[in-house]
Amino acid sequence: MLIKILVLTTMIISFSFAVVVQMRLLNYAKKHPLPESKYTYLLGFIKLGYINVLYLLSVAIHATLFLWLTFYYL
Amino acid sequence: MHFKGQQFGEEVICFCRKHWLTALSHFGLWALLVLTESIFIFNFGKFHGIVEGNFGVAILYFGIVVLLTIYLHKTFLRFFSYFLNTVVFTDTRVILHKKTLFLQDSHEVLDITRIQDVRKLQDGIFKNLLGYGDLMITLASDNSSVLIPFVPNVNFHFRCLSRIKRDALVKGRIRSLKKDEERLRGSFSKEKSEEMIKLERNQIEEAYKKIIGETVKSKTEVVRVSEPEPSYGSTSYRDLLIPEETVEKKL
Repeated sequence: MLIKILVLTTMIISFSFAVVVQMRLLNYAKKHPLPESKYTYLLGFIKLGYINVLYLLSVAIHATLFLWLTFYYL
Repeated sequence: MHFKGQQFGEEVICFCRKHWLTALSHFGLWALLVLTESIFIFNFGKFHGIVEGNFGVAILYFGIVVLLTIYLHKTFLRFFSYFLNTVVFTDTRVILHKKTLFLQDSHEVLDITRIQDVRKLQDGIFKNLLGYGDLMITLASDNSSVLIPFVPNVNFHFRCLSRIKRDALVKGRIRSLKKDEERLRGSFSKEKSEEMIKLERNQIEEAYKKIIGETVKSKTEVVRVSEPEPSYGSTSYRDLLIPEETVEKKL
């Protein structure tokens, strides 16, 4: 039971941190609207927005999988 | 406005981030994280019994979960810091912005008129094959140097910086010619003043023509150096030319 509570708390903190990261990124994007082009993207096509989406998906999948592992097996 | 701290009338010529090679390690770490998590999750069914029965092993499991969570966030924060670190070239300054989301936010500003030399360093097989290099900027005031490493398409940025430096010198020359024109009117006879003013005006016209309409070409980029949009309080190159009727009226 204790392990379940601890893992749940960890995932809640992880989500909260992801929200704080989104706020910081939004603040940066508002203050620095630089003229982006294919020459400034990573490998010519990867934007910061794509990495952000990948980050949110990774956090969600990571939390879902470990919560399922914890509550199903333990 | 393109960035916080941009001055009134300042034009952003171009900006760049570090070469994609610096982000390659982040991709590798992210792939390693995905692999580790996948192996752990798919094989957890085989040893979940040990975790269930043993409190110590359960704590170890919790420790692994925490470490993987921290590692996930850290990997993506590294990705974000790649995008947040920029080098901006404007018509008056070079701004090196080193930033992370939480721990760092530093600016280094180099005045174009204070730049003495610009060196392009592109030694090694990878740098030449992948087209990246370092720019070493030497300042006139104290001969100190600033190194900008991993500049992508370094040939283009080297030429761009050289062109911005030259344009800044020409702008300064145009301003001083205008001041000389005012001084000449008071110092010489009307005919001599007109002759000298016409000569200086030709010089201004030639300098103006050299700047406007030129392009900087590279293998992958074409940047057109255009006349900045005239805005309230700032002058374009054309405004620096004194019209004929104003000169005659004052003489």
